[in-house]
Amino acid sequence: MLAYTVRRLFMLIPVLVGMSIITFGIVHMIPGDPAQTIAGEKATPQRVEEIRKELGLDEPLYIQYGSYAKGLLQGDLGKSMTTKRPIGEEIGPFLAATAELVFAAMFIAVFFGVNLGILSSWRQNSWFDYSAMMIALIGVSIPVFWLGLMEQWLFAQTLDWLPSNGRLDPRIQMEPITYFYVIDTILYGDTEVLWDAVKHLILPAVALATVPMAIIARITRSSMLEVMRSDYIRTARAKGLSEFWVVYKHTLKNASIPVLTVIGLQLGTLLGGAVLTETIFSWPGVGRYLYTAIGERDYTVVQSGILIVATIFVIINLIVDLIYAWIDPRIQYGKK
Amino acid sequence: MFWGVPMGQSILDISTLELHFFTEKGVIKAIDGVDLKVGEGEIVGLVGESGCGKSVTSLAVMGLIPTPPGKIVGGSIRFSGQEITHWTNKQMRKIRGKDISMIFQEPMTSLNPLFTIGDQLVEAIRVHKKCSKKEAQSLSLAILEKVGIKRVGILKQYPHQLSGGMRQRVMIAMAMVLEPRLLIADEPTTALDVTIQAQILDLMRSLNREFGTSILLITHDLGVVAEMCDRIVVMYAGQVVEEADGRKLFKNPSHPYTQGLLKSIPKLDENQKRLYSIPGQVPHPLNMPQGCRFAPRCEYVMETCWNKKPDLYEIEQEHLSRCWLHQGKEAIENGKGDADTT
Ligand SMILES: Nc1ncnc2c1ncn2[C@@H]1O[C@H](COP(=O)(O)OP(=O)(O)OP(=O)(O)O)[C@@H](O)[C@H]1O
Ligand code: SF4
Ligand SMILES: [Mg+2]
Repeated sequence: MLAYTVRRLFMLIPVLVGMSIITFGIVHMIPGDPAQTIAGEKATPQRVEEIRKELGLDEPLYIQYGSYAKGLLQGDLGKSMTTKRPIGEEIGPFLAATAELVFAAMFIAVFFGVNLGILSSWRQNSWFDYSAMMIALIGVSIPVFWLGLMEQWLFAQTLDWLPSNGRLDPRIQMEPITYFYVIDTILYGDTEVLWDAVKHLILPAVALATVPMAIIARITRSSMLEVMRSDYIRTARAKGLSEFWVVYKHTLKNASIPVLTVIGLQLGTLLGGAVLTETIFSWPGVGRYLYTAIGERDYTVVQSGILIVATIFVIINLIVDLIYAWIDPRIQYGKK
Repeated sequence: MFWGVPMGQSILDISTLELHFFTEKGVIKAIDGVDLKVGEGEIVGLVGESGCGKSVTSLAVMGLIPTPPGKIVGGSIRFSGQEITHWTNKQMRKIRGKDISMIFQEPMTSLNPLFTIGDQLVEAIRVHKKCSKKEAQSLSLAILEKVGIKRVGILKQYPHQLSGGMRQRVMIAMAMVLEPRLLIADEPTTALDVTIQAQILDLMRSLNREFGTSILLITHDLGVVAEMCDRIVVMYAGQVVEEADGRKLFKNPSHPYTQGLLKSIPKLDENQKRLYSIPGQVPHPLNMPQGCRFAPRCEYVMETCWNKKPDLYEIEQEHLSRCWLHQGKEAIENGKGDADTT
């Protein structure tokens, strides 16, 4: 397992280098003179030269990339061109907001998806199974933005149960610690504000979780049913094991392999969906941050932002792969 | 009619078992009259074509028939004198793997790929026996050695690291570790190549001798049965059609189906132009013939055969056959065979 992990970590290096080259290329793919474009049409020639110097655009490409990569290795993501603040510092709170939303959505999707799937397979062809799978089928085909708008209309406007925007009631003042509001409010020990943060989280998280939850439920069900029919489950029963052990030891572990694969794939969808959800629910996440940066043609922010999001995505996939290998010993010995 | 089992008391006694599958398309009478006894220390062979109900019979003994759709609708299964036909799953669990064990046809898929050999063996022991993990592990190593596996670190290995023959040995070890009184082996060698087949059969025979475990050996290979078994039971389309000790059956097969089976064994010494096979096909389970189930394929078929069901009839001592040919006119007219067999 350790050897496999180390091997997989080494395989990460070329991926990361490739990604840094691509994001580096973004600034150079600006048509015409990048410095001019960044500075804007009305900028004075001095300003354009300043920007060119500032970005090192007057150096040869390999030197430019070299200093960019060196910066990255030292954790320096560059400075925002509009605010002049280090991007690493600036993006932190936004990243935390997105992470909180994605974690919440993932938790909802996995918890409800897996359990719905298990119950459905356990009660195969019952009314519970039929209605759960019907809902799952509908869930898969709902567009996130539509669901988000419907939620806002029903639970925020009509019923007034939950807030429809932001992360906290604007009247509440809080000095963030980790920028994960749920964690921060717990750290402050303020249950009232914690409840407010959770209430703000529910609608966007549910909107984001629906599609992955439906997919996870369906995969869990079919995978459980398939494993239940397999020879080794019959062997487990023939040993005299109780039904509980048969299901939770022998079946669930085997059935979790395809489920895990799907969860890994759904994370990509989730990150994409997060941008939409953040827009609908005015959630101050990375999606919003990058959206603003693009509007202001803040290319350094766009460049680093994309690199960060892509790196997170790659790391999450690596973690999923490692869990996968940890569950299934055949993978480590495979051809890879 | 009752006749003594050669070696003492029977450990397994199935009589006139009927088991149906209630499916959407209709009722499949998968087992419709199976009588089968396995004596203490005896090896009994159960043979028959694919789909005749051999596996269903053995799963019924284990209480592992999926219910629904399957259900025992008649007859009885007695294990060691106790009626177990209507035992609950909880009751069956206590004897499964401890008093009755089973090994299956597919060694490649019968072990859980995600758990080590040690884990699966230890688990089999500790479901039934109060002992520490250490003790269970040393017990596992001992039984593995008995089935011919002596390999460093075997307990830490996963099934995919073993060959098919090795895996079947592990399955046998798992089945034998608690020294059950009955071992059901459902085509244990079908998936293995010939040399490994012989080794596995040898192993089963020596375990039978050493532990006195009775064995019900299921196969469609008459050659295997001839070598191994004290007694042979032939099944056709959910029924037992003939039963005799091995010598008698091969010398004097009485049921036309058994005769056909014997004729279809390839013989090396004769210059056969074509391999014989019984004409026709097994009847569809949803559309069984009214009378004798073999009638559509039988070369001796008579009028009676089509509309009256023959019963098992003792044609000579310890030799039963389900065929009108061997029964008197009187029996045929009454439409019943030997009344006591039912
Ligand atoms: N779960 C089930 N549902 C419906 N019918 C079944 C089921 N299991 C078995 N049967 C039926 O029972 C009959 C006997 O099947 P069984 O598996 O016992 O045959 P077999 O003699 O073991 O054949 P093989 O040599 O191929 O293993 C078959 O006709 C099959 O259609
Ligand atoms: S009862 Fe009739 S059809 Fe059936 S095996 Fe005997 S002779 Fe053939
Ligand atoms: Mg079978």
